[in-house]
Amino acid sequence: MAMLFRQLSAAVLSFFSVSAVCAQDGTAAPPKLGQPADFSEVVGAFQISADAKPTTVAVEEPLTLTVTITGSAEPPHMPTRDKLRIFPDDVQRDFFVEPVAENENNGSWKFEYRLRPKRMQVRIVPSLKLVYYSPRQRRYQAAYSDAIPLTVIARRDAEVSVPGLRVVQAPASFYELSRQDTSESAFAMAFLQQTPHNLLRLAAAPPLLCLVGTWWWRRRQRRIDDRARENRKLMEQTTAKLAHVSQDATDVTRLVTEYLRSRMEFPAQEPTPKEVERWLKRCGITKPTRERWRQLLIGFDASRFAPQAQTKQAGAEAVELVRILENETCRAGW
Amino acid sequence: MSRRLVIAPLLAGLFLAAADLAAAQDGFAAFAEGKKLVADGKDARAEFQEALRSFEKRDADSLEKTALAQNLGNAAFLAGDLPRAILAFRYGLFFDRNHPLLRDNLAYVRSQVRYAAGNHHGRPESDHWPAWLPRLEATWYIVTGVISYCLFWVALTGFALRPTLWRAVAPVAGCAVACGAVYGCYLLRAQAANDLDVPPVIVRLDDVPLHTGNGPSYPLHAELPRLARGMEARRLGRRGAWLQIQFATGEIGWVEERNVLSWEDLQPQRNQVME
Repeated sequence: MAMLFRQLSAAVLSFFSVSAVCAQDGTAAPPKLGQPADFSEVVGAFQISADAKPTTVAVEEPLTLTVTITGSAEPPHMPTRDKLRIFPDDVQRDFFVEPVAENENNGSWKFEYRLRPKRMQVRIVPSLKLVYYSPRQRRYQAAYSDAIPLTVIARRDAEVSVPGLRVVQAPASFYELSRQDTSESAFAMAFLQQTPHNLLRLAAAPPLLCLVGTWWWRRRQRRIDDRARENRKLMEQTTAKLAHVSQDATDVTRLVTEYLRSRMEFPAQEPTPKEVERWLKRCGITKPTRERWRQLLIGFDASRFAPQAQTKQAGAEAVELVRILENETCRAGW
Repeated sequence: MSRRLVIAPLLAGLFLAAADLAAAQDGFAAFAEGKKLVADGKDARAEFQEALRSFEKRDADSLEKTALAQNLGNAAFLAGDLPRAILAFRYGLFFDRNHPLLRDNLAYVRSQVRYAAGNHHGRPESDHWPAWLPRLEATWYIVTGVISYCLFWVALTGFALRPTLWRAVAPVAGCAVACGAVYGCYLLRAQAANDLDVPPVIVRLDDVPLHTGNGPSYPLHAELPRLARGMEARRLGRRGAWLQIQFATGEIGWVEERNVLSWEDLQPQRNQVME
């Protein structure tokens, strides 16, 4: 069905194209009506001759048949090998036919064929027939060449000059067909065909991104360093103040609370020990430190509300806990 | 009206696809028949020629380009059409430059061409692929190249910010891989561009004269007067029915167009319809 469709469409196309061309330039196109089956699609006036060398050959040994066509051809209907129908239909019975060379020279076309007789009974290279269309006589004409006598002798025994020589066949990979396509993807083909300018633009993207990333990283690092410096300064100020007021639990509590509010954004003005412990836990401070802070604040509360329990080491312990807290917050990234 | 506009191309596409499939099936059937005859020790060239004709009817614009080229080349070689086999394998290698089977088959077919003994004139171009570069598809080179190039810059940035010894190894390795991949892409691109700019032509027949000008009256080429069937060259130009060709070994001459095969000849039927 598909073959029929292709042939039908090709026939329709060729019909329309031939009609259109003839209508335009008025060339002498050979008519389809009455066209012989062995018409060689040449237009003009021609003679054909043939010559064979050698005329004595062994079976399946080659001889060269030179076919010469002379005459005046009307373009575009010139003699071409693929359109020539000069051999009789049964030539394949007697010969292997193989095209060799061809050339054209001032109204003379030479086509060479390599013929190999298949059997000893072959006596002639058959007469060749060239059917052409003569525009002067407006009909199809035929030119013939003479048959060439041929002597075919028995095949010679093959002589193996190389010891151990064996017939080489095509490798096994030639007998395998494929249905799987491995063509490059359309993306790859398009990428490879990009101009160097586009490729350079693409290549510039990663270094630019890296430059932007470096700038951002350095800026972030600078901020972190600034904050750490401020925190250290705050800690030093707090510890210095704590050293001055180490006797007074109320002042120590106030300073410690201020430190927590500045350093860790602690929301309460006068927090209870439990609130501080919860806030420190939320900030990721370890349990022993939290516990020490809670005990310290409980001690301060006790001192504030029962002055006889006041201790001299309250300020010193608060300084130590502030330092521990600073170290831990630095590690936690605060 | 609009419905017709939609349905007509759809039907035409379906019809062409069906015809394409039918041609492929015919080709596969004829090839299988040929294989059977070869196994029985008989001459199967007619069957392989039938398979070749069927494969040639297939649409070259279909996606299966390397598969089509492999089938065409195998059928052509087994049918005794050496030049067409070379052309088909080269056609397939245009779409997949490193296809191992196509490369092996092409090398074998080239070994069957009867070059003049004792000199190097008219030999095909040698493969310039470096031994250290693995043969991969272009997509692999592109993906590897892009990833390693990006990694190279990231690693280089990391090294610039915090220079340590082990951080220096990563950019060097990334740079080496990226350079290899880019070189692979460059080779593929250069070969494809070469095939498009100066397309290959294959000599169809034995004893084709190579003239120094575009006509039979010009003298024959001094070093390479006659060309053997299957010799490969590249088309430099055209003047009338004559082509100027250049061989990989440097010889430049003129041949008649009908004596050589080019990529357009892989599908004679389709080209006739297009003309």
